[in-house]
Amino acid sequence: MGYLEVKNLHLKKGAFELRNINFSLEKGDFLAIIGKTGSGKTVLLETLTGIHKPKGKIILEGKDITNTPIEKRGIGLVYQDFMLFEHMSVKENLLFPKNRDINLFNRLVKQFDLEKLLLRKPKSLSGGEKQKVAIARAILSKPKLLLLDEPLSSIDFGFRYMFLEFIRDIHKEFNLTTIYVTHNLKEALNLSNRCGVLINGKLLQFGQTGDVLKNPKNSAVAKFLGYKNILDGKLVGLKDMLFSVSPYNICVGDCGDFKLDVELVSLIKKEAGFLAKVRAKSELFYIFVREKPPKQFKVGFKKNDMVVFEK
Amino acid sequence: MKLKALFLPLSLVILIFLFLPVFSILTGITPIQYIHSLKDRQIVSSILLSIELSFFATILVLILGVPLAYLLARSKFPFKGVLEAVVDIPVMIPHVAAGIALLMVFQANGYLGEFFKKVGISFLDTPYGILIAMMFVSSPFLINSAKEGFKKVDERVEFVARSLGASPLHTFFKISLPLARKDIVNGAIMMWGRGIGEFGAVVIIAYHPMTAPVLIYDRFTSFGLNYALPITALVVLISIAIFIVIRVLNNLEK
Repeated sequence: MGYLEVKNLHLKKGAFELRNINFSLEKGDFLAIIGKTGSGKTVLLETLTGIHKPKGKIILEGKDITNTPIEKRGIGLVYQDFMLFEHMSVKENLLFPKNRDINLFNRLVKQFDLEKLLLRKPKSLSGGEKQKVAIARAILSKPKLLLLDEPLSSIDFGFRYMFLEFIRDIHKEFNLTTIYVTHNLKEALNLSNRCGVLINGKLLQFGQTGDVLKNPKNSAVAKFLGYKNILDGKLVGLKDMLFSVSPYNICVGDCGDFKLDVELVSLIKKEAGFLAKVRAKSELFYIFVREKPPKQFKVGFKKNDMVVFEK
Repeated sequence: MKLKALFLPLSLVILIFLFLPVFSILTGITPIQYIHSLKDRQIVSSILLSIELSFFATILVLILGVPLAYLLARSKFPFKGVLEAVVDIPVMIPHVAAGIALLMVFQANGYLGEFFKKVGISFLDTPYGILIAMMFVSSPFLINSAKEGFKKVDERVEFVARSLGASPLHTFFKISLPLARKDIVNGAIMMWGRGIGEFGAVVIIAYHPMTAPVLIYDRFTSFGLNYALPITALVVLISIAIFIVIRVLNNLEK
């Protein structure tokens, strides 16, 4: 049994539904849940925290916590807009957790560089400072599981990389099992060893981050992950499938394992060439070309460059 | 710019309408008359009675009404609108009618009057009667203001507090209540002020002991405007002074 087991989690909230969510994490795992805005990422975190009452089971450290009150779960939650207690100083915020430990407080204040902020009110802090205080406060509650809801969305673009490093270091140092929600693939790739793709309340794919990003299970995941040229195909001896080939892996001329005659539809100028929209029979797709192609020409691609997934 | 030019004179009209009567009362008597009024024991005791009883009425509604305000702000349940309407009833009905309604319930053989009689509390012509009249007619100011205050507190702040180990009660006292404090105090000031000035309901249930508004009425009907003016000016002055001080204190950041 995993450190965190989520089994058949189902939640109806107004018109929105989380549907049949299943995944399992080991102690110290860093899971990135990726999905578009409105796909249910925050609702999933809130459900794990105990804010919503779902069907299904949430098991943490072998204990069923599905109906455990929020304050007894030991799950730290950091929202994207931090939710600091505005009427308290930074110090009072940090010392709010019931499980606070003064040694850990002193250590984090030093490590997070919060000494100068301790007497200030949250209102006077920058986005980055608020972020640090919110994460430090959650860690001070000694959570069994840390949930981060798009924590970089309120950070200035220039500081995001620094904060990615910061979050990675914190995770490593405290070996905190973490679930990190984002719509940013780069963040997910940078931080996580596990990845889940949540679309319209369904966890369409879950697995090792690299596997998920390289091998999307279906067209919805592939589209979300930014795969271009999703085309119909039939694998010999297998059922109908979809496949994708990057525009950069399609060669012009009599080349590759699969060859196609295409007709040029339009051209978009790019830095080192053109992105050409072409038509082969009824299918439209993109290829990258260094020079302007003629109206009709041949293209090809290698079998190894195809990513195949379910319809 | 054109809109401002249109709104400014309209705003001035209403401001003058609101300010002029108060100004005319405050300047309607001489400083010597103010001093004389302060030496009139009946005036002073009626003002103190109004201030004191309205203060206790406000404290009672803080204890009973703030939890209700929180429930109304946070919970969703069938017929919530009906409950909200019940809170607003005292504002909607004539205050004399409110006094009659209270009389029905709190007179010696009323629904609650009988019970209170057993524990030695009577409401007719007693400070208790004044207290419940003030509570009834002015509690909506406090309850509604507190409800709006709680609505302004993001519920997610409470969730985070609980995820940090705080119980729901601890979260209420340490997070929700302090964050809604300004609205609650403003509501309490409004209620207190409304209570001090309450006449219609009070006069039905307890003409005596006389509160300041009842004394103003009594002197006006018995002796005319000149006798009613000093106490009126004093009540207005004291009320304004108290409210300004409390509002300033409430708006000061720690």
